[in-house]
Amino acid sequence: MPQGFAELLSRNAADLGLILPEVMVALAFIFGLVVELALPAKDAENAERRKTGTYVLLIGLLLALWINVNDMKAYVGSLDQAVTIYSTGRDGATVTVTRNTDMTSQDFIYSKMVVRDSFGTFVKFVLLLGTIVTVLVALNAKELESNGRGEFILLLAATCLGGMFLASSTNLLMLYLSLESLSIVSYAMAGFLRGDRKSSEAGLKYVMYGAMASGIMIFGISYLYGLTGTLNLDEVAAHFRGMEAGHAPHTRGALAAVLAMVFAGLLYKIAAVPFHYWAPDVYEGAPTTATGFFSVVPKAAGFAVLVRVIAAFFPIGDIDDQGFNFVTAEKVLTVVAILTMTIGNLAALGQSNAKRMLAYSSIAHAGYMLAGLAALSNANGAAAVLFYLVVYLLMNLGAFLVLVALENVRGSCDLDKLRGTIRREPLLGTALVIFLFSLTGMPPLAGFIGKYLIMLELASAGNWLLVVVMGLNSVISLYYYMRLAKAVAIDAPGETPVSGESNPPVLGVLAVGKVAMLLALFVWFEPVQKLCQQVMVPLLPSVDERFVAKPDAGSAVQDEARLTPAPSPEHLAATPEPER
Amino acid sequence: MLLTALILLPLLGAIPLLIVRDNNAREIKVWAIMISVLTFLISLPLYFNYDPDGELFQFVELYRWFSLQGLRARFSLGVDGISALLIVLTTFIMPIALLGSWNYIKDRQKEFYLCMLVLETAMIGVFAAQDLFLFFVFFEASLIPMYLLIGIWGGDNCIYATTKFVLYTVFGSLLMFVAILFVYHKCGAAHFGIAHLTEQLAQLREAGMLSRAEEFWCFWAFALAFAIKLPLWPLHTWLPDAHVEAPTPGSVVLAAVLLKMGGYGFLRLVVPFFPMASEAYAPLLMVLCIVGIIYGSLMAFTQKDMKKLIAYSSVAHLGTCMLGIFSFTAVGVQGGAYQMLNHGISTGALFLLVGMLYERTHTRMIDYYGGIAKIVPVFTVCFVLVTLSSIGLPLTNGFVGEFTCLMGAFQRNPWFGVFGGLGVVLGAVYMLYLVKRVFFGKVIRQSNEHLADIGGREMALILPLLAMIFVMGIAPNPFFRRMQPAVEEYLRLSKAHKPAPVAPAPRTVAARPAPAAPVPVPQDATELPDVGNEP
Repeated sequence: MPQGFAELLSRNAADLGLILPEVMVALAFIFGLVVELALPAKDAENAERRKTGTYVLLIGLLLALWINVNDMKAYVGSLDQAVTIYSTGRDGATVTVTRNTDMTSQDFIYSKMVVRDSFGTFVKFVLLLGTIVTVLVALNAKELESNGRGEFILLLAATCLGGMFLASSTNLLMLYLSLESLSIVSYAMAGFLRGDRKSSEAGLKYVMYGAMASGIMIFGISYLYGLTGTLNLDEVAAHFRGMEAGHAPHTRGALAAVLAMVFAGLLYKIAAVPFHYWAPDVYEGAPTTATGFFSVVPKAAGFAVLVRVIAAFFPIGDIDDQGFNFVTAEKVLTVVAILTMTIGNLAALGQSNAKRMLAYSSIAHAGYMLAGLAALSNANGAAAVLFYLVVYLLMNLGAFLVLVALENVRGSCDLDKLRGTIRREPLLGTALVIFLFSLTGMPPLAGFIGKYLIMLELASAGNWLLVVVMGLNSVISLYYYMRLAKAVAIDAPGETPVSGESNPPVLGVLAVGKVAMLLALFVWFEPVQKLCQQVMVPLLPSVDERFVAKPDAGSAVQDEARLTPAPSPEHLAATPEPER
Repeated sequence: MLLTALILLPLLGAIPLLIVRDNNAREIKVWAIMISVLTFLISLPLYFNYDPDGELFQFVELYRWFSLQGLRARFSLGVDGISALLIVLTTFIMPIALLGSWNYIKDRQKEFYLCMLVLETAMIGVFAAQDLFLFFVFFEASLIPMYLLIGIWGGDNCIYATTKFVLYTVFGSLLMFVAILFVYHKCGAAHFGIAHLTEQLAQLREAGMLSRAEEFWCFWAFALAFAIKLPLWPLHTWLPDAHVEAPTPGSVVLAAVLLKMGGYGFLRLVVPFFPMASEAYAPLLMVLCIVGIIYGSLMAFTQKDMKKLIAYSSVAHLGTCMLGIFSFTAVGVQGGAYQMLNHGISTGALFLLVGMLYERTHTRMIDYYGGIAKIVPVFTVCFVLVTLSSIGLPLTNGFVGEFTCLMGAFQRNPWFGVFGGLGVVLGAVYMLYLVKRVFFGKVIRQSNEHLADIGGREMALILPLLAMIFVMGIAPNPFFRRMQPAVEEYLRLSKAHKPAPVAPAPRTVAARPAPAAPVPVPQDATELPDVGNEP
């Protein structure tokens, strides 16, 4: 055996330690599968044994979460010294810009295929949390009872694994592979209810659309490789910026077209307009548990990688970058965000099935998050998106959790069938109303803070159009959320036969926990917001590259105090009042 | 600590209700009423200990809420004379509304009292907040319980009404939210403190940094939110629906307190923030008020449903109130603020009385009654007294309020006074016509002959309101004195921009250059003649 190979092997083995959460999830998946196969359950008596594999998996996921939290702490802690804040303005708006001063905050693994940084660990935390909650819900979902619950739960973990790699890939090939592994498992989950026509249809549609989208994306990636000679995200982006600067004007159009293809694949994953057509059908047909999961976990992973790609190509938070493509990207994102939220909301208005309604609403929420990204010149826009992801995880997963519980009782998610369920399930019904108001963005719930932060950062970036459109969209969304809330909480129960069993208490506990989190995040959102801003730091353009020689570097201030907007007179300088 | 305690008490009081198993236990009602009475007692120092000669804002509290990178929203509370009185009005009405629902609400009582207590927290919060962000949070938070109150315990068509109510309000307030963000960014403010933002905006305007277009857009975004809440004609259409469908306690709270948020918003935010735009659009808004007064009165005259009649009369009365607030005269603004309290008391009482009739006969149609004065004499006396207050007879609170409002309007422009005064005449017409049709004449229905007269519990509800009607009618001075500093501050802020010329309809969009020496410029000649701005 050549020595180089042995060295490589040992180094790779050592690198395994750096992706411990992923390894943990993979191990949990394998062990869960083995246990599942080793303890086959042929009859109802053995149903309890059937859950053993799930418990193994759950323990693995919790371990991964714990390791990941420790990782996150380490990375965020290393950033504390690395944040410098500049205040400066464009169009009279005051912008606070965060800069990365520390280049050691990222660890590249496997020839720069995968990166470990605070951003990745944060997103992985969100993904793991979403998966664990969904596993608990799936354990109590009636729809999965005779359909191989164990396998379904294992698939959840596999999706999560794909998402975790997706969130931390810095190589286009790795990005593609993890996106595919995420998607293929999702296809299986969408079509999981074997006897159900709608579910099969959902699975098939998902495969068709997904194959198409990833085909386009890999086509784009192959061209990117041809144009730049590398697949590393940062190197490709560097080439791209060089060419944009005029070194190779004839390739600029080609680059733009290719980039559009790559983005099409990513926007497909987060179901942004005009790549959203698959979402309503898939969401309606898939098992409700899977729908809740789809609307949160793969979407969070999709957003994570979208943020990474955007940050590589268009330096987020660089208000001085007035390059053609930067401004274009801002405009394109603005248009996509407006279309996504408006079309999602308008389509949700007429739905009579709660699942389909929430499917469209989740399209709208993708629009809100895209709006945060559209504030490209403001680094905190992306941080606000991360905050929104956390809140969205809580409230949307919460809403689907209650839907699963109500479906257990009523057997369907049609609004007609859900009427008056609050009398049957007072706790879960009340929780649903709270989740819906939070989704609308009503204080005193965290949904309001999420929307508020995005609007605030948009305002800082001077994108008032999106602020107004977001405000109007909230009004539209209020209408259909109220329809669902009304059906559940206000209407008298219909004639629908009700199943005798009541829901297991664990669902109630989960719902109450989420409501409590939503209230707590409303009052004490600041630490989480700060965390989101910190984890974004490694993705921001570094100070060494751009800011050291800047003439306005002198205006940097080291703490929270903000400067007067550039053209204002001296006496407008803010004087913070003493606080107690 | 007083204000925090006031805000938290109903909320904390609602928590034990969550764990009660029995949905309709008598203890629930007793507990909720006890909490609201306790809140009222705690709020009394706001009236008695508010020192009109002291600082403008008293009972001030300030806690850090969040402050990230220069963005500060704070849990900042405080009251001036007007908000102190509005808070006391809220806590005063609340026990009455809760006791009034003793027999009315039979279904899902636990949730009902829960909603009412949460609503009380939100309402007190709106009036106590001195931070714009906090204000907005409470302003919005009051919607959710009200949505449920109308939606769950309302009449046959309540879903339509409650949806309309919420959509109208949210539409306005979200536009206001955008404007709040804009204002915050524009002045590079250190925090969301209302007084601080007012000051920053004034400085910005003085420096010529706030372009006319910006001020006017923001003005309309704010004004729309509060005009919908108030409601100002032609944005009033949600109000009759909401009132008719709401349960009696909901109507009482809606009329007595929630509508006041609109007027309060104009007093506290719209005019102090944007005095220039307010001055320019005041004539337009006053015309809308007058249209509202006349339209509301005529609509009230034609109604067959008593609740709808009173709802339309609210449109007219609040029109009078806004007429005073927009007159920018000391008398008028005092009257406007006073009229807000009056309207809360007398319209609240009217809804309560109609609710009592409804409990007995299950109809609110005027046709159904007739001649019941002989059957329920005490009830009739109460109703007539409240009616007299509503139409502004001397010695009742309505007279003081309407008279001062109209005097202010008259000082600004006699025509406003004359047309606004029509409201008093028309008010007498439709209210007395209502009394005639319901209480006097022949008894037209046999079933009405056994109507029970007002009972002990109901008497306990209505007596405090009657007492307040006369106290505020005979001795308005303590109230005026407490509101005086706040009114003066409002007038100072509304005239802060005065050195600059004011055009009624802004055509120029470009930023104004900084004004030179303060040259007094007369009102624009195309305006209706101006009869002095000071009383």
